[in-house]
Amino acid sequence: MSSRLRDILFSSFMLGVNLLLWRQSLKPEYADIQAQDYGFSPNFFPQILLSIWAVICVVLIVRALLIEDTKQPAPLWGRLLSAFILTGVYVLLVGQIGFLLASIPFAGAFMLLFGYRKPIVIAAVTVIFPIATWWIFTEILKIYLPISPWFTRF
Amino acid sequence: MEFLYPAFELLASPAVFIAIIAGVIFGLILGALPGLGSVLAITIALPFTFSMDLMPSIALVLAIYCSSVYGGSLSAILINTPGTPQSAATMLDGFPMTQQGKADLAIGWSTIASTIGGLFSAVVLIFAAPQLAQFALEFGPIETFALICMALTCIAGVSRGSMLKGLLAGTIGLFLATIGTDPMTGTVRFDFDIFQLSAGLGLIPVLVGLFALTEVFSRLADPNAGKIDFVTTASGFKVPPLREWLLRWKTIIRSAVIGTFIGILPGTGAATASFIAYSEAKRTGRFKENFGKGEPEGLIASETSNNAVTGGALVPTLALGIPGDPVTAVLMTALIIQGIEPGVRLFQNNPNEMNAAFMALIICNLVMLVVGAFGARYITKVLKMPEQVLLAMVMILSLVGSYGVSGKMFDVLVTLLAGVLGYFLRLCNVPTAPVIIGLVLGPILEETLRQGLILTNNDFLAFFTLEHPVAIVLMLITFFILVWSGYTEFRQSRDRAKSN
Repeated sequence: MSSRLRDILFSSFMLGVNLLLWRQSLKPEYADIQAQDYGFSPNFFPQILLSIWAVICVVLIVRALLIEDTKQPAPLWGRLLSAFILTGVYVLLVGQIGFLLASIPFAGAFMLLFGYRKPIVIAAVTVIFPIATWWIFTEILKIYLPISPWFTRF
Repeated sequence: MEFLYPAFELLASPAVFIAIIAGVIFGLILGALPGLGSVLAITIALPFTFSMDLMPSIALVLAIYCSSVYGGSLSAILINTPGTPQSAATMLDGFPMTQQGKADLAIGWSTIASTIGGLFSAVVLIFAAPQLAQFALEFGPIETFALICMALTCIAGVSRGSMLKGLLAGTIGLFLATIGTDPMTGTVRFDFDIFQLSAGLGLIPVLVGLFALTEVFSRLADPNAGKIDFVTTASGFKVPPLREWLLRWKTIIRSAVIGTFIGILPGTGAATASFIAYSEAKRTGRFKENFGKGEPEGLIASETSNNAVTGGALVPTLALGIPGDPVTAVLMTALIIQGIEPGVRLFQNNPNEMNAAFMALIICNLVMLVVGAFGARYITKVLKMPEQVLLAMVMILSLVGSYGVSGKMFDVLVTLLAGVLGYFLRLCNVPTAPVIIGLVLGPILEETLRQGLILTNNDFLAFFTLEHPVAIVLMLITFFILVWSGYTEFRQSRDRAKSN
């Protein structure tokens, strides 16, 4: 992708987000608050920010059209998408089956998915690291991590 | 000297010393690993501080801060890849020394230079921060508003990528800070009918996402990542002869001053300091003709200045409550979690704790010297750790960190979304540091603006009358930074177009 196309797409997307937020900032309940003599309604400051945000996006689009276009290296989309999905599933699982039971398969799957192939190291890290982390947090630091519905401690 | 005794009492506990030693080792390792750096090191360690007492937690984060900056030099010297951006200039003469078989000597130069830089800036911090806080006590909401505007513009102006994108990132951060309950009216804003958003976005979940997860995603998606050749050479520690130091003392002093001064300026950071100090040494140094060929003077300039930034950057963070970069923003968060509110009243409200923190900073630098001297040889072995193993660990610790702050799974989800957002911002060359600074400073900026408007009967132009000379000066500086950064960016674009 070229830098010009990238900047135009990015700025247009941010402009779209900006419009949605503007719409949200026009909710009537914000306007009523002004009567309480606090000087300004709660949407006063956010609207200033949204205005600056919109102006910058427009300037970025204009600038992208004017300045030199350069080729940008493409990321490894497959690996990136895999990372997003794996992390998303992990976050979901932590909430459902607890930190320890979710982290053990996650650590192994993560290393395997991204090309690490030494089974002894994978097995060791997969088991030792999540257990050590869980033990340090719950037993030493007394910071309790999410637990599974089946066990009382993890 | 009487004020030192209570501070000594606070420090004199095994927990503090264990925290310092553990923090130095941890910071060194994460600093040395390319791409991880100081922000990630402190962010990962943050959950460990939740259940710690005040002084051990402060000592831990300070130790990680100092040693992670120094740790970057190890990989810069040994594998020609800076562990942190702050050590990029260290590569220029550090790696040639390794190629000449003098890696142990290069590590000796960098360790001692880093310690000198860190100690120098700690002394400046001890004297400057209380004075600055005393001066800033006179600030009203209008002056504070102008100061934050200047800090944000400065950070956006010098951020990686373009100033416009930096400003956009800062604005996004400020906007994110408005999510939740409006402090003046109690109205819930931008919650999108999601109950958890009514309390606003937590700094730590966003920060962990934007820095830790974004880093992991970027490294996994980078086609050029992980292609590092480790040079097998003596990577121990060798003390350079005193005579050699004496020949280069001017560069040490100059670099320490440059680093400390640049550290005080918001947004500039250690990477800028090390390059400026390196350029200055190359221009005026005794051995300037050898720069780039393995000259220790270049190494000294870079390493003294980047560690001198640590104390300098803490001056505005502690005295004004305005962090100049993401590292100090995390440090500030660590203090807030412990019930210490950085800002103009910090030294009045917590004199003993602050004196103890200053002493802890000095001790951290000295411990860093000892650990560097005896442990560099072992710590550098971590550089050989497979990236996939390392990233899996970072992922798990990051998610634990974001959960540990509040014990809410919603925060973990915020971290994930912030990580995805951060990745796309980085892909589009938008710096993420201003987002965090905006998120930290947003509530104060909004509050001071609204208070200022109430004071001036809603007349914004009255902010810039002779009644508020400090605000006028700060806004003029803000305007100058905007114009200068814009002009520089325009000129660079034009030059690039011409050269093509």
